Amino acid sequence: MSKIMPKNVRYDSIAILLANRKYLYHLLQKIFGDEPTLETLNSLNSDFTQTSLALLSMEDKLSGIKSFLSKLEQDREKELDKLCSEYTRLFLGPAKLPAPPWESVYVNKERLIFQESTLKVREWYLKYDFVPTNYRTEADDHIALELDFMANLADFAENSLENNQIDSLIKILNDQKSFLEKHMLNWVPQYVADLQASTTHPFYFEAAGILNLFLKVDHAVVTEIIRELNI
Amino acid sequence: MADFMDKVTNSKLSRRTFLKASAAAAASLSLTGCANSLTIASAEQVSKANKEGKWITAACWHNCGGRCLNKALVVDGVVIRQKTDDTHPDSPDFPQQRACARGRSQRTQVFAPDRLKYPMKRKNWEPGGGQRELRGRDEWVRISWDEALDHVAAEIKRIKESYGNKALLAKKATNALNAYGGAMTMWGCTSDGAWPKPQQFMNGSRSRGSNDRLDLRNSKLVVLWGANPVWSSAGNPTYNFLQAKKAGAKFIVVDPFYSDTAQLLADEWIPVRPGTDTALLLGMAYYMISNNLHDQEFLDKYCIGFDAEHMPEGADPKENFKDYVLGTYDGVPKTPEWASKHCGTDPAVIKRFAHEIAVTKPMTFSSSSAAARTYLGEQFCQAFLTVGWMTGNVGKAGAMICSNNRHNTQSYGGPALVRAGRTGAPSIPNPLYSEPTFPGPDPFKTDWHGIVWDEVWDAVVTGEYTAGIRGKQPCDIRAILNFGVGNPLNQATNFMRGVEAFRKVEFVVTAAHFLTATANYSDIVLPATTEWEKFGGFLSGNPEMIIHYSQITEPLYEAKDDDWIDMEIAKRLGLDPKELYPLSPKQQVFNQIAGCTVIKEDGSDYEPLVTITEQDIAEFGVEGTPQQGRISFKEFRERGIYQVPRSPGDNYGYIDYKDFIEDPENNPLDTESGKFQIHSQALADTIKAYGWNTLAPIAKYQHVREGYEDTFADFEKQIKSDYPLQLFTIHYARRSHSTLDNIPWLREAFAQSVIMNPADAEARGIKKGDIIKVSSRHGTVIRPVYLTERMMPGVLTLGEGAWADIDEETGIDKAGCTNVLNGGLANGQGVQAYNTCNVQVEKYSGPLQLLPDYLWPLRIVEAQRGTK
Repeated sequence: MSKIMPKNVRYDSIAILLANRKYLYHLLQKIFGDEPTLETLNSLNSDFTQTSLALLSMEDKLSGIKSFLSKLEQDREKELDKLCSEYTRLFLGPAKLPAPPWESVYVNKERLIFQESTLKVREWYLKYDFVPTNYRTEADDHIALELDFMANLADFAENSLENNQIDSLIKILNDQKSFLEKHMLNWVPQYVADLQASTTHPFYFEAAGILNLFLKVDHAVVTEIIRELNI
Repeated sequence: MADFMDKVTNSKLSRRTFLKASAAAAASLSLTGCANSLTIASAEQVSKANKEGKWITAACWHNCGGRCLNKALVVDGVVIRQKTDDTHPDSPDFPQQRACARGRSQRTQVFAPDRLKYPMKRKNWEPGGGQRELRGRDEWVRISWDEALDHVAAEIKRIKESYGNKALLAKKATNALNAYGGAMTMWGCTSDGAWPKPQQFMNGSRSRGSNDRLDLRNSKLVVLWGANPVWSSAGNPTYNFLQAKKAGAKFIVVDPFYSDTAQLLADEWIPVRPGTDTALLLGMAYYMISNNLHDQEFLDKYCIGFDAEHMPEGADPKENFKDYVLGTYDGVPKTPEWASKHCGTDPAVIKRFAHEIAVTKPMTFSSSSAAARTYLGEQFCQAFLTVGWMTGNVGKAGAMICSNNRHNTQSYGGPALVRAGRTGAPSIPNPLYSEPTFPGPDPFKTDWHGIVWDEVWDAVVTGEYTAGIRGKQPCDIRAILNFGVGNPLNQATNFMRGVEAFRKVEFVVTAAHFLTATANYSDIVLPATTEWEKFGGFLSGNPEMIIHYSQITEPLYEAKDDDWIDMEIAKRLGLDPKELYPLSPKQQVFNQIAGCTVIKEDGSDYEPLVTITEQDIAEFGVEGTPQQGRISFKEFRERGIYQVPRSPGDNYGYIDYKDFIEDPENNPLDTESGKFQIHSQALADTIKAYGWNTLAPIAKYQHVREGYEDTFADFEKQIKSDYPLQLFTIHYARRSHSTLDNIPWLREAFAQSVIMNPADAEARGIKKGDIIKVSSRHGTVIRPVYLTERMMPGVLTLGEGAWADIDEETGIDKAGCTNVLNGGLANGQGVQAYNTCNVQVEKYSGPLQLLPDYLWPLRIVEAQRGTK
């Protein structure tokens, strides 16, 4: 049952912000969850990403990456190969990962995967009927999976708005705010610090910075939208 | 933060246009291929999730000998916590099988973020080797299992077809390799030291002499020679010894180090230099003989070779032990004063010690393997048994001369009271090597093709190895295949030569749980499952219990079990994997359960342990026949352990050699004479046949390479050499061999420090907490130093098993891997001389930094930047 749509709410602006955050969550998921491709780099370098970040007052955050991207243009194959090696080193191994990309590593003293905190993340996903593609063999709280969860919820929020289901929209946004507070904002800053301390490659250094700032900004965005809807 | 709603509103962006643009941008991201993505949960996944936890018996599978009980509280595939044995109340007679720090850290190993997750290929490898010198410092590329297995099979095939099966080297020749013609392998005594052959020829078996554990309480004196069960035999051995102490036994511990065991149990600590135990024993023998304290009656009746009147047929009567000790023919009486010059033990202490073991009855005289893990370790074994037998403590309550007492037999004796059945899975023999790889082959046979550990890396580099009576043989190793075997590069002596060998061959593959030192120098690494990810199995530690463990979690990431890997390789080699692995893991476990036997209450025989019904078989989904046992199938699976309850006077007591002592004529030993052979020509001939050195038929103190005397340039004039100190290596509480070395909990609890006497430190300007550089003739490590008077002057120790971490520029190992220091001194029957190694030490003032080990991730980052 839907609440009556309040009149003086800026629905268009909310719709733009929801679409915007969904896009950025997906983009970051791709960057932190998959081997780098030219396609991903092009997306990052696109006008739309620039516009998208500008909406969040983050337009200057791409400058570091852009200088890498122009270097990439000089020898695409070589630079992409180097970037892939760095992704392998930071995210896959086989040597000890300098900044393991799982929440449980940062919220427990023991720095392990598949912990009780992982089950809490799993509960969140299941609340929306999601599981990781490689359920039970890969830990649920990988940074890219948490980003995917946020992207999916942003998508659900968009749909609720399209269908004028304000109650559902508010509930989803509250869940996202809560997931950020209880999970992502709790560990990503330390993860990003560890990652930045262990990479000299500008791409992941800068991308980690964007990730860190974006989560904080998104928390503010979600808070604002909820406030707007509760006018 | 800015007001984003206002910002968007003021930007005058059109909702419709923006949504269209964002949809287009998102479409270009192609997230469908992203492995790190969510999917819709199935109804089953939703209903099964987050159910209440269940305690499951979890494997503690390492080769420490303990194999204690570990249980994991598992919720939805996640281990919330662990516990140990609470299946019955603890008592000295019927003790719980409690886990040590290592066992309790198990979940931190299985769920460590640095587990190998995917098959990986060295970036600059290509079939044939690629840039081989980059092994150990190359970058890595993730590859699919198919690609990895295709490469592995293609290289095995190519090398076999070009150079033959002998060009393949594998510690474990798997079923697939063996069906494909086999591989050269490595062999050696490793943990047994020099015990196997002396035991075979002198007392007719392996690791004999121990009575039942409860009988220890009847001993008036217990001598532990080179044994530190507190560190190296966690589980119950120390507790069992403590019961003997409480019952009134005096304890004497012989060791260069006043160990934790000495601290707990010893009434007296007798320090002895590594590799000189034989001299100490000969000095004791001299005292006993010259004071007529030896048990002549026992020696006459049960032994051969002690004196000229009791020599084996055909032996030179002058070559008897007594005359050697007295110096009758060589002019050197082996007096306590003579002994002291070698072993460093005070002559007065030697005499008192000899007196005490000669007159205190009954006595337990128990040696571990440590003193035998030396160059010419056989002579120690000969001397230990001989001096032990001189006291006559055999075949009676509380009386034991125990050889090779360590690992799962430490403090235990007699046959296992409960045993698991066989899996029924076939094991294909290696066509190139059908002899045992441990302790080693028969040197007189000529049909085996294997290389002793100490020579293996040399053989790869130089193309020559020692093959028993065949002498030096050529070899041409092109591939090193590490399937289902720990960490052979790290755990064999001569690590630095090993790196050369790894960088020489055309192909190296390693299946492992982590990027171990061995995996690090490989071309392809394959992620293997731990026992927690397998269907289940059995472990046996001490002889009074068995543990049946079950699966705890799904295989993590892309890890696969060893059998699966071997089957996939077999397939690609044109073999039928079903023939090599006809039984499912479940059927194998069932067969083991059905085959479990337990000793009958009257001690007369064994009976089936587990009752199995038709229904059990149907529910489990296997083939089998019902049987009657003591405990139900379901209960056994749930308990995961069966331990035979014990009490003094029960029917399971055991006195070793009782039959022989009571009636030697009708119960002869399995030796040449049927008696204890203090003199054995066959032993001497066999050692010679191995091809490295000779051994006297009786215990003599012959020159020990890298022993105490080799710390001198001139022993007579007492002029020290460039390597004036002695290093011995120990099993350390932090690890089980090399396993668990990467676990932060254990790293924090047990520092990998060099233990050293303050006098040696002071002479070198070394202070507490300094980083020191330890150099041998074979390699260099840096480590923090731990100074204590508990260590004999002139001697150092370091725990074996640390994962070597070689600084590429200096060649220095920062982890303290003892095999960087231990050279490959092939000797005897193929004994790894881990405890005879000459070193020099200085304060380290170079550029390398050493943080506490448990903070090592930071250091690893630095080492890997841009190179790995």
